[in-house]
Amino acid sequence: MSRPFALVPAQANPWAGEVVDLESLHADATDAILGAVARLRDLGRGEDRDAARPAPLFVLGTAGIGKTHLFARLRRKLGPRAVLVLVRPLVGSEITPRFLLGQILEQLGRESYGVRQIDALAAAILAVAEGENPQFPRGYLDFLHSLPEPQRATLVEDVIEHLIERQPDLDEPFLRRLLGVPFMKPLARAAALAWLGGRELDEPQALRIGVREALSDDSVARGLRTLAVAAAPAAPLLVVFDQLENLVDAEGHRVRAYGNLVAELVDVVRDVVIVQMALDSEWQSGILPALSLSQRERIAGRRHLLGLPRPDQLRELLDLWIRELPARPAPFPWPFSAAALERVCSAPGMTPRRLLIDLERALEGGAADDELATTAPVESAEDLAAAESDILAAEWEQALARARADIDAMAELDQGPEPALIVDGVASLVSLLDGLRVLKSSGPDLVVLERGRARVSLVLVHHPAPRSVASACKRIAGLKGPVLAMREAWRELKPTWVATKAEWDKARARPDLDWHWLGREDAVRLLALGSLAKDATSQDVSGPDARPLRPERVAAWVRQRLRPDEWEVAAALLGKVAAEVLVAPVERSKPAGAASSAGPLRLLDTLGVASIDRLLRDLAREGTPTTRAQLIATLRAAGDSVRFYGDGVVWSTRRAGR
Amino acid sequence: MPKRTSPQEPKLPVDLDWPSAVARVRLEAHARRAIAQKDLTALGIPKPLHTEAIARLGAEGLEVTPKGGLRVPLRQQIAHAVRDRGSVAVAGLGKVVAGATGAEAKKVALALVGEARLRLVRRGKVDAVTIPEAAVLDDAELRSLARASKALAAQCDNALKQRTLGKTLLRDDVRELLLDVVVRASGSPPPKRDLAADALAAVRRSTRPDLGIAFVPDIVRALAPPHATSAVHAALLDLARTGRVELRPESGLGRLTAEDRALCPVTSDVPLSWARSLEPAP
Repeated sequence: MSRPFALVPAQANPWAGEVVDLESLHADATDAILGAVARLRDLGRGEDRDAARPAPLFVLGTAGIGKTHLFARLRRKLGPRAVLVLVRPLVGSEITPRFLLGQILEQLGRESYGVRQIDALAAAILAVAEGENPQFPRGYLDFLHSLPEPQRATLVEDVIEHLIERQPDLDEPFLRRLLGVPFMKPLARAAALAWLGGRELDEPQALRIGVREALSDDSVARGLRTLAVAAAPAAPLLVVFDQLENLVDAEGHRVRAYGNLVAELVDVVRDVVIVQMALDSEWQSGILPALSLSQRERIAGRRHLLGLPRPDQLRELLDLWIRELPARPAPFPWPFSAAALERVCSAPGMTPRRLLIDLERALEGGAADDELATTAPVESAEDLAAAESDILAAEWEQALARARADIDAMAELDQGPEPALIVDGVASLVSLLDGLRVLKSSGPDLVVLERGRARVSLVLVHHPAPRSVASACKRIAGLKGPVLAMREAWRELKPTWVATKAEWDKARARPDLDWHWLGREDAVRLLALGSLAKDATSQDVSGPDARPLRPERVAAWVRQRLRPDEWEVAAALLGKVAAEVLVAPVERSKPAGAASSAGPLRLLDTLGVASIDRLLRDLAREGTPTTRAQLIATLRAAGDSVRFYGDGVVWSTRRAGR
Repeated sequence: MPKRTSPQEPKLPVDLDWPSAVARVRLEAHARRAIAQKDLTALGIPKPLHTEAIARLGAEGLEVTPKGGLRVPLRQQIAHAVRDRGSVAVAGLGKVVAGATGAEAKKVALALVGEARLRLVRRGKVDAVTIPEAAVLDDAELRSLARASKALAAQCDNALKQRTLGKTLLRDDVRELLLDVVVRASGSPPPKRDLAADALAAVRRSTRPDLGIAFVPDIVRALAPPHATSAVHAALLDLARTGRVELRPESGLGRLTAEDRALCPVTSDVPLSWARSLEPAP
């Protein structure tokens, strides 16, 4: 069973362009958040730097009540008047200020309603400082672009000086690069975004923007504050922590680390609106008890419990959704009868998600009689199992697509995927493998696994800069016991990294070191698995009967259908790699010369979807460079097996149909 | 944010529009909870008129702070903070109010406790104040819990000393020792009322201040016996259908024990394990 009526996804997309929204639902929480943003904007424009900032808000609700949907609504209502960031907690390690900063900058790089958030933010900051209206950042940005470069540079410099004068503790180099991003060339912009996000750069990128090294931990904290303070008068930073129930573990370390992070945001960064969203029962039973009282008082500010929709609101929601249908053979309450509508709208415990799935069932069944839409239809256990499997397969494909897009986006910045999210994926994968468990995780630099009776140290060598890779190799050389070191296969050690290679050779001289080149598909699967596991924990994966699927059921499906024990990375984690793989797959020599048509098509089949630029780069790395014109011609000649999105992105239909 | 020019003192008006000025200051004071005297200038009240403005606003109910500014009455601020947060540590009261020191806030909070407008509770290692209708232990229950905790601690120590044999405690025994003390209604049975009214009252009494909702098994245990569990369920469902109570589906991660699940009404195979009163308390 698929979901033929899937006009409105059961799991809200926080970045959706269009949202079907019932304004009266969760109006209190919405108004409180909008009020906090407005208040922070006023405080940011005022002179009193010591006035109390809006306290963190926490938004609690049962599964399917509309917490994530609230984020999409806030985006629509605030537009460019705030910078919205959605952060999901880490499950493989403790959340840190650096991770938060990385997430903020990554999302600043996204487009929201036609404008890249970082461009809108910088333009708004400059506009406010110049006494202009910040509500139309695109217009002001166009004006700034039209200025001769020296004049624009002077304007920006004056603004920086003014902001520092108002708030001397701001980080000037950070601020300078933040405000300069909209005017940088693409490569410099990519480097700047990565550096501002706390990431390390390789040498060419670092030279491009004139930095020597990544932000230190202290500089990360100052960077967060600088960003928040600069943004506050123009487009305040609104950080939404979603799915916080994923923090809950037996020892409470992750919850306390989160508590420390938010306490730091409250005490040090200050100029940020914090919204925390969680399942109500998990907040009560799993999160609050693990926090110290001082943490609780900082983070547990104003509580908003999302209420279930009233019967009249349920009717309105149905009406809104039904209007999205292309054809309606009868007036509302079609596809329900009057009696069925009454029963649906007065059923206790009715969440928007459950209502949506009841509507879908009514549409599929064509039922307009008094058969209850809210009771489970009579289906065999086999049918239900098949329907559940179909739903999970669709969720998995979506998670894979998002993961591929993330990896591709980071590759555009010459960066690997966020290492903490790879660790999340590893943690989720380990939980599915027999004979393996995570004992302790300090993040990508060290995860201690228990493999049978042995302890194995897993190290992600994710760094872009050769010096850092060398340092990581030195650390590996000094670790006790068996070690598994991993690096992304598409980020091989460059031939010019002579000193780094020397350290690498020393490290792999250890008899108990396994080195694993993480393939792109495995990296995609790890990211997707981490994401799916979090959704399952947050009860955001629903079965055909609208009930959330328990995480154990999702895990059982993953084991059975996806066979994660057969993934290469699983074999590496289990120590089943037969021989040490020293050479990254892409380093293997390929015949030189123009790419045959097999090359690009094979590559696209592997990737599924990719940009033209990405294909050109990968083909060059493989030793089969080609020109853009030739590549496009090859792809077009492949007929229906390749589809174009615009001029820059292509998609393999052969892979999609697998 | 104004352009980067020097701020200018507004000209002294011949006649200040007092009602508008006072309204403006009142709004700002309520929005910020406290304003300093120097802020009055930015709000359009010339310096020579600050004293009069403060006197007028003081007469309207705002409090004058020790530093000569204005604040929303401390009693009100503390009551709101406690309602929003569920509870506030006494030592942390200074951080949740504006225009007052921690010592001032503590004094007012304890006065509110004395007036039964707040409750003083011990949470972990600190004292805290919470809402008066918080579900708390009465004196007899507190003493019972102290005795039960002592007995339970001794049992735990005993079991933990024999880990090789995996000695442990029965969940039901622990529940009997602890949870019955916590959830059983104290004192004499309430006067006879209809079950719907009892159920609504039980929802309010069982509401957890940190969360704003009540755990349905707590409500059912409070009422059954003497009522049958099924009757309590019917009463709750009826209250939900008439819009007086909201019943919320369970969405915890394996937190509902089989025993608690049996105490929840179920709809479409989903236990409704949390409840919220939709009516203001009488």
